[in-house]
Amino acid sequence: MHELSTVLRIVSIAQKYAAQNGAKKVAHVVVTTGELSGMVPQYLQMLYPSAVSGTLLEGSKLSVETQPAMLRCSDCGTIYNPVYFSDARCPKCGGAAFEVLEGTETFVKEIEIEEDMQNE
Amino acid sequence: MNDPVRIIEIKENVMADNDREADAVRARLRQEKTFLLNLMSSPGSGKTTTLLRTIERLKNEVRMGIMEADIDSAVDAEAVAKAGVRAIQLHTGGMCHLDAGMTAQGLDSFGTADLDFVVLENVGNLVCPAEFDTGASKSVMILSVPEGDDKPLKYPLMFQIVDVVLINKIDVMPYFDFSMERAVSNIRMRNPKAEIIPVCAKTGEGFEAWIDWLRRNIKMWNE
Repeated sequence: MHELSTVLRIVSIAQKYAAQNGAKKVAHVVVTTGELSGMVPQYLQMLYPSAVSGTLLEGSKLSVETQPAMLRCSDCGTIYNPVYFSDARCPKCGGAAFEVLEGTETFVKEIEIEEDMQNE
Repeated sequence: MNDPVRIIEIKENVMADNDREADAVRARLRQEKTFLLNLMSSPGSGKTTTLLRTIERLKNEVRMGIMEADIDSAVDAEAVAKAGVRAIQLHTGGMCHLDAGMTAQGLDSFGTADLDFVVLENVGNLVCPAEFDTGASKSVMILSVPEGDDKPLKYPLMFQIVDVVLINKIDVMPYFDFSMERAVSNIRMRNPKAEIIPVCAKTGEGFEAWIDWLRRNIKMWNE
């Protein structure tokens, strides 16, 4: 959830790096969102065009990749990707206590820019 | 002729700005020697009652202030002001949580430099507040008996990120299918380090352990 504020932050991060790299235009933004982030990619897509309107990112494409959740069993140390998070027992020892290693974050992975030739 | 195209690797977390602001809030609180506690729970768990009893026990020992966050109404701030402690009501304008920016603004309006201990009573919600670092020194959540002992499994992030879980309304345990053993075990599965303190904010039962934890942590922070 919080897709609107997330989209605005994605745009802000992309703009920052675009400016730092002398971009004339941004063609593509790739975002990675963890399986446990609660982020709905569909909503990010829905909000994206309005968020980029009037910016260097206008007309750009947004790709949202999902990152699998990685849990570490607190009992035996096995690292696993649960099928259902609500009952994520360790596949090796059946333990129910875990530490989340990956899968809760959303980040801007990369952007594809068109450089401004005049700055060369 | 097309302009050259280049891929720029970024890998920046969308929360990066909030995390930076939260660290800045903490640095400022350390300098001012003000301990800020983020208090969270679902609606009706007893945040305000717990707060009022905490005020009663500590207001003569430490200079306290309360920042109330609510979507609307000044009910809580009024109750707290009546208890004789400085209070400020933050209206979130419909936001379901507080973040570091809002906390910093609240601290500015409130003026906390002369306070030793400030409680930020977050919006009643087990989901969103857990995602946003407010810049608090420590955080505590209240789980009340009528809510059930399985809540740590259903709202893992909230239980994972807190320093203390207060299990409130222990006076009504006989009337609910709540197993203290199961609740503690479920919490431990998500947070092996949290301090778990069963209390009854209404009667004060079990409260001394909570007040002691506060005294220790306020002292450590403000040293």
